[in-house]
Amino acid sequence: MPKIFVKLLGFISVLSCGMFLFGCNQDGSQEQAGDGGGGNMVVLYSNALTDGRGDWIAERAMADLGIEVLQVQVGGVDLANRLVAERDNPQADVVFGLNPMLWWQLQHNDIIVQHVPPWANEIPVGNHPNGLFHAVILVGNLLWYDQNQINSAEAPGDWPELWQNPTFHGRYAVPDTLEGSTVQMVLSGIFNRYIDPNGHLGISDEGWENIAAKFRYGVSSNQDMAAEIAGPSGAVMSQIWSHGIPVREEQFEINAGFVSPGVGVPFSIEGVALVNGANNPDAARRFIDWFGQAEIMHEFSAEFGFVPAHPDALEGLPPFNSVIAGLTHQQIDWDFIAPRMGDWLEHILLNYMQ
Amino acid sequence: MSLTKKNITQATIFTGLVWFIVVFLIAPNITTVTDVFWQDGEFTMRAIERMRNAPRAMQALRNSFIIAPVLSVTVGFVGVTLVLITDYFKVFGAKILRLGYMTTLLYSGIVLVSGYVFLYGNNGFVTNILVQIFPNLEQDWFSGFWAVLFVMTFAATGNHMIFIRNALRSVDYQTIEVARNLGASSFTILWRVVLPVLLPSLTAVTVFTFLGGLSAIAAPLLVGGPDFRAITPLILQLSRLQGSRDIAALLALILGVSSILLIAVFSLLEKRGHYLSVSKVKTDLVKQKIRNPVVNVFVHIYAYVLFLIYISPVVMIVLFSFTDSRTIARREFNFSALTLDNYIAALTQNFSPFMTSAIYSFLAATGVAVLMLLVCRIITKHKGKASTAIEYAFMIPWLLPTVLIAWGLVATFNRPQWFMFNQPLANTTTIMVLGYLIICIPFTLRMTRASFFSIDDTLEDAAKNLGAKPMYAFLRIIIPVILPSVLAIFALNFNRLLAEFDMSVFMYNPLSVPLGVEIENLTMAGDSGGDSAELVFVYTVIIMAISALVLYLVYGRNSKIGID
Repeated sequence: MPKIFVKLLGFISVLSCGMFLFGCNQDGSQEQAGDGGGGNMVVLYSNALTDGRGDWIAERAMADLGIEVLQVQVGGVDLANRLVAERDNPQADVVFGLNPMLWWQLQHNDIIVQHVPPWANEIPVGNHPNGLFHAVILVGNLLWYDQNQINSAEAPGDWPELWQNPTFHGRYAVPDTLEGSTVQMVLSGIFNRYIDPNGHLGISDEGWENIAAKFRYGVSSNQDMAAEIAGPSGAVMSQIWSHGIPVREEQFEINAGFVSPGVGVPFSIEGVALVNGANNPDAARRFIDWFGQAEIMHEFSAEFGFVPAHPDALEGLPPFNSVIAGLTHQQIDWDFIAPRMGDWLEHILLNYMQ
Repeated sequence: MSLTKKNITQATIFTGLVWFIVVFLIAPNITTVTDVFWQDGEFTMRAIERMRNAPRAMQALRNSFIIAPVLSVTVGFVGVTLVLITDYFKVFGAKILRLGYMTTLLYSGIVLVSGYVFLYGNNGFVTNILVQIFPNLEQDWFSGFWAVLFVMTFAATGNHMIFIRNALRSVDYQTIEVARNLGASSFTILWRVVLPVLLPSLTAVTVFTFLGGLSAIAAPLLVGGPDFRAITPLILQLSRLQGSRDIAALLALILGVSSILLIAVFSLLEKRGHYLSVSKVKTDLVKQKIRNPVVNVFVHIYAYVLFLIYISPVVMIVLFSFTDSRTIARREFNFSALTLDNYIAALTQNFSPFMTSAIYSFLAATGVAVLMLLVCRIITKHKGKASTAIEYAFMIPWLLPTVLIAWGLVATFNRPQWFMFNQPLANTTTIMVLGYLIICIPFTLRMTRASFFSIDDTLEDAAKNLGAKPMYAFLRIIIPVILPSVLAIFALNFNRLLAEFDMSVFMYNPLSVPLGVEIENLTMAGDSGGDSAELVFVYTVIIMAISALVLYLVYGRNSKIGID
């Protein structure tokens, strides 16, 4: 029995020491970070740092600018929520990535603040009109299919055919969550066709019928869309973000074809922005000015297969990137769509999701 | 003198608890609830209307309230029989069986259900065999209510294997012998002598089964199909949409209040008294031989069929963790596809997230264990309105989904607050440990409290009569009796927190990335690195190994401490 007593006491004392030391150490380093002021550190919040992109940025920023980049990599929806929750005492200096709807959310909550980098006027499409954020990467949100399972003559020519034409029912996958950027972008492209200020939540009845049918006749999937197409569920088509295609073709032995609808392809803008009340504003501005330049964007895109927003950065990239860059952009009324997207997603979740 | 000192100590402890409750359980959640229900400066209950106009959502809510009570019965039955097989009856190979039955303690969620889908789902092993026998069987037969019930019944018996087993050990064998000498049948002994001793633990565990049914995510998502949607996956998605957090909070409140009502009912039942052994010198249980040969054969068949059901999803996950994402997507397993590359990729990653999460989880699991021991001591010693209030206050974390609790903590503590001594906690270790600790409170409180029932009050009284001070008596008499349960709770909390995601993603510090966030980032869809389903399996296997080790070190090895 006494052994237990001694063990317990030992345990508790080790614990409290550990808690104290660990706590001090961590809190201390954070404080130091705060003291950096306009110095040489940037806290970068992003949903686009996976696959080594964050480390690439951190290494280059250190080499080129002498700035230490601390990365917080979180999925887009969670990232925006975290930024809003922290608004009274912002922890981030720079935000990178996201999509038009999430940018709207940040703008609406005063999370980001104007900073116009020198390369801003070289970007033809995607910048915020008042300079709150600027485009760095373009992502096409495509309808793709496996040509081994359905040939391009049979494939649909536009999204609504998937649910309007019974031959495609049960042959396309829809993700079982609405959190992803791609799913929201694809929905924006569809909602945009049915805007009706007098309709329910600003969408016509016909629009809601189409949305309902999209979910009713699709194969609900909780895995990677490519895995679903390669798997036994019967789905041979789905949504995909453009730079996700090449690696998945190889990984799943898919012979990819994609659709280029007459109305155009909904493009996401991955941008970069300065956080309102950033602890390290000067370093943050230097970082943004550096990151979006054509040379850096060219190297970054070449390394990770992106389509850069900067036209000069596109030269010399693989042909696939030029194909994506050459697609027609669907004209989407973001001023109408972005503020309402949350309500629409809720309506879908509550009524149509399978 | 000693009286006043005692009073001062008690007052200090009481004030401390009230401070903790107000500052960490009430204040952040008030931040959340006001933010969620006050829109444009006024209180709104639009959420109710929006929800009632959504028949599919209401159906999902009903489904959850159907599966929860049904599960309570099926899991209770399976769980108790598992324990009887491994520890009460003489069953051949009980030790091996126990290892198989305990596998559900090591993994959960999407990956566990995936293991079942590999077997029973479209193109699954069992499905393909069944289709050869019954050619009319649909490939996607494993879907809907029964599939969810099947998966969850076997997935949710983990707590039984620990807590019912602990309770079974406190059965006094003499009472069984006496009953037999008085002519009681095996069944009567089981029903009238053994079961009453298990009852406090069984009620506590059943609350969690019920709650697990209400808050089921993975099973309804993966095998529920269009016919059996559940409410919690919906709550999770809604809680991440800024404008829909009011519905999420409302739905979560409905689930949370139902759980607390259930606990209130169970607490009343508990108060009606329960069986306590009168023996002061308990005799260890001797395994019972099943005399009826037919029953014996039946029990053995039942035991080994269950063993197969439990072990096969684990085997699937381990096997598939050595394959690639194409094999996983097509569910076409073959031995030539096996590779070590996944493990090499996972194990050559940075190890610091493992350490970070181990430290956070250790601190939180220890903190919550100590805190809840204190709380249970107070509410069992000083019965009254104040202690009941404290007990229910500690169930607040059940009222909101983790995402909203996290939101409240960050929004409240990222600026200096007088009640937190003007210390902003944003991005500190403290807030992470606190968040982890808070989400462990309800489980820890319930299970610790149940273990207090196995304490014989007269032992402590005897110690006091012999001159032991209350603290000394507590440490030397009470703690040793409940230590196996406390250590088991510690291990379960630690394992649960190791790969925690919902809380971490809101408050982690970029200098110390926790494991859950790291795994999500390494495996998340939406990047140019392709699908990495295999890495999810690899990390699950690694975490299962760590969890097994923790359970063994903390609980398995010393599981006899309490009865020596």
